[in-house]
Amino acid sequence: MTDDAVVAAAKRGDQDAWRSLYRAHAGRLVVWLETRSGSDSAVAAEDVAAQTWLTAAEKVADYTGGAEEFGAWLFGIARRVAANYRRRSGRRRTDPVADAPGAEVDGPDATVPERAWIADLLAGLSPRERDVVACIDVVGLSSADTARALGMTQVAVRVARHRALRRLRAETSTTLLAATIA
Amino acid sequence: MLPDLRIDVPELEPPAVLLEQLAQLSRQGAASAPHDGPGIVKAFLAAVSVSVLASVAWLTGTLPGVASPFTREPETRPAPQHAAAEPGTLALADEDTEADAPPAVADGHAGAHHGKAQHGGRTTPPQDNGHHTGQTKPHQNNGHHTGQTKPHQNNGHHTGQTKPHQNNGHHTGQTKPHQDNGHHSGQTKPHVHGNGHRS
Repeated sequence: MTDDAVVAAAKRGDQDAWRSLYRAHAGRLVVWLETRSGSDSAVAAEDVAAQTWLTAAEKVADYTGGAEEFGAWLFGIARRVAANYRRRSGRRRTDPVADAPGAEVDGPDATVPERAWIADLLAGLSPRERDVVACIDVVGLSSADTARALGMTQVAVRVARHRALRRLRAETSTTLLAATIA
Repeated sequence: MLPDLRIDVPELEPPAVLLEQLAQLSRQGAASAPHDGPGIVKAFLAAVSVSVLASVAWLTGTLPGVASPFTREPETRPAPQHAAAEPGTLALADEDTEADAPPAVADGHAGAHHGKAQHGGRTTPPQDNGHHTGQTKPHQNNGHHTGQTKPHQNNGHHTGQTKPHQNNGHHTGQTKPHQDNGHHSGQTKPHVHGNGHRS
C-alpha cells in the first residue's frame, strides 16, 4: 500500500490504514508534546495525543496531501489541541503539587530519563524556539513539516532554530565548565 | 559543544478501541463531507447569481447612475420666450403696456435713434424695432421689454435690469440705472449721450 493509498484508505475508515499512520507518527507526537512548551502538568501528553488522533479522524476527509505531509498536519492539530487544553487549565486555575510519594516508578521505557533531560534543557528557550528545536532536533521533522505544523514560514523556522541552538551551546558549555570545576 | 538531542522515538501500537474509533470517525467524516462539483459549475452558478442580482437591481433602479426602465424621466420644458415665469401674468402686463405706450417711443425718440436705439445688454444686436429686452435671444417684441425673471408693473419702460427701477421712458440694458435723457444704449457702462447717437 503506497503512502497516498494509505491516506485514501484512512479516509474510507480502513483500520489497517489508521494503524499504519499511528505507528508512523504516534511515538514522535507524544515525545514532541512532552518536550514542547506550555505543557500542562495536569494534562498528560498522551491525553493530548489521543485527542489529536480523534480530531484527525474527524477531519481527515478535508485533508489533501500524502502520507509525508500527514505528520505536519497531525502536529498542527496537536498544537491547537494543546492550546485548547492550556486555555481550559488556565480557567480551572489549578495549582500543581508535588508528586505523591511512591508515584515514581521505573518504567519500562528507557528513554524517559532522556526525555526529561531534554525537556529541562529546552526549558531555557523561548516557546517558539522550543517548539522548533523539539520538532526538528528531537523528533526529526523536516523544516518544511515543522513550518507547516507550527504555522510559520521556513525562514522563521531556520532563524528560530539557529538562535535556539546558539543559546543551547552557550548554556551547555557553561554547565560543563561548572561541572568540571566542581 | 551541543549534545545530540535526537530521541529514539518508540513505535507505538494503537489500542484496539482507539483504532475502532478512528475508523468510525473517519467514515462519518467522509459521509458528511460535502461533495463539491467541478469548479466550472461553481463559476457558472456564481455568474448566474451575479447576473440575476444585477438585472433585479437595474429593473428596480437601485443601481446608482442607471435609471430604471420603469421610472419616467422628468420632461424637459422649453425655455419660455420671455423671462417671465408666468405667461398669463406676462400677457396681462403686455396688455397694460399696450395701453401705456412709452412716451419716449411715442414722442419721436425712436426716430432719433433710427429705430435701433434701445438695447437690452445683448452681446449681439438683434433686429430691433425699438423694443428692448434683456434676453439673449431676439424675439418678436411688441414694445414690451423686460429682462426680469418675474413680471412687474410695466408702464412702458423697458430695462434689461434684474430689478425694476424708476423708469421714465428711458431704456437701457445696463446693469445700473443711469441718467438717461431719452437716449438708449446697449452698453454695459453708463454713458452720457445727448446727441441721439448710440454708442
